[in-house]
Amino acid sequence: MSSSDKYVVLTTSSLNSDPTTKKLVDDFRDYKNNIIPNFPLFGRDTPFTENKQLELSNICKVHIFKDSELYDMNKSQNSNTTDAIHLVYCEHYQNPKLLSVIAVLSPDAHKSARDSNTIDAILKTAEKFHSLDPAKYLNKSA
Amino acid sequence: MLSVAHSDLGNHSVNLSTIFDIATELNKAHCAEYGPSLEQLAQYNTSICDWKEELKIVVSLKTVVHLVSKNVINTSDPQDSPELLQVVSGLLQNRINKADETYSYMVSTCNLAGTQRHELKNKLTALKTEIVSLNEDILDLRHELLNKKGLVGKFRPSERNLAHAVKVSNKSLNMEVAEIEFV
Repeated sequence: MSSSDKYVVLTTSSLNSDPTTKKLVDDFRDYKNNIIPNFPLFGRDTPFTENKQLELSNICKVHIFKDSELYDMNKSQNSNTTDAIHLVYCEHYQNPKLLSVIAVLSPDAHKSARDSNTIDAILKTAEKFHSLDPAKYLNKSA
Repeated sequence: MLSVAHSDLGNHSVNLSTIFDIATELNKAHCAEYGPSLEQLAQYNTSICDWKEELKIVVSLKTVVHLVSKNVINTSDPQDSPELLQVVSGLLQNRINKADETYSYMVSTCNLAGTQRHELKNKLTALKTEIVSLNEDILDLRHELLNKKGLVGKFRPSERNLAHAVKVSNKSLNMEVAEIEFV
């Protein structure tokens, strides 16, 4: 994988400063860059189509499997779903290779994603992320 | 075979020895098919004071019966220990629900007075809390074993870790826009 194909995954400083959330972000980065392609941590990975505002802001979510949940290796990644935990991330408008992890939703991730306060908070974080210059971050990783 | 699991559990506070000891006995006796049911235990006219201990036995026995029937416990490979703990954890999770079933059963069949019901419910709630905590300890321990196997960074988060991550995330989402920085 050349550096131009590589995903650069940012996150907020507060998520990065906690070891547990940082670890999730690191695993997500590895997963996006196929470093741990078959590892059954991440299930369905899709844009946030349930909410138009979130979808228009390029917000996506990936289902996270916790230790006690069954990940069926005979099924595709997209068919492995869970309502418990979703990792919410954003694709930059100007370059889809630049991502930022924004939130971890639980205990009922779908319900949390319908909460207007949560939606507003995600949108404001995404807006700030979109204001970044992707070249600055993508060049840095090259 | 069981010494492997015991040594792995070593200095931890998790007490799985009862489960493994019962498993040994069950193995010896070749009676892994059935443990006593909740109904049978209730017929023993168990006093409410002893109920917690009785339910613990049910938890242990039913867990072990399943482990033995799946041959999980017959492992001699220390590398399987994390998987063994994963199975124990999953089974304990199922047992948590049993406390509710037990309460319903006792109330409907044992003609309990109001104070007795209250006492039983409190005891079962305490037991559930204990099982949940034990389950979390087991998952943490499993992570530790996976770390020892050199799988650091490649294991799934425990319930406890994820609950913590959600707290951190909620705090992060409540920050003012000006405070948000990307790294």
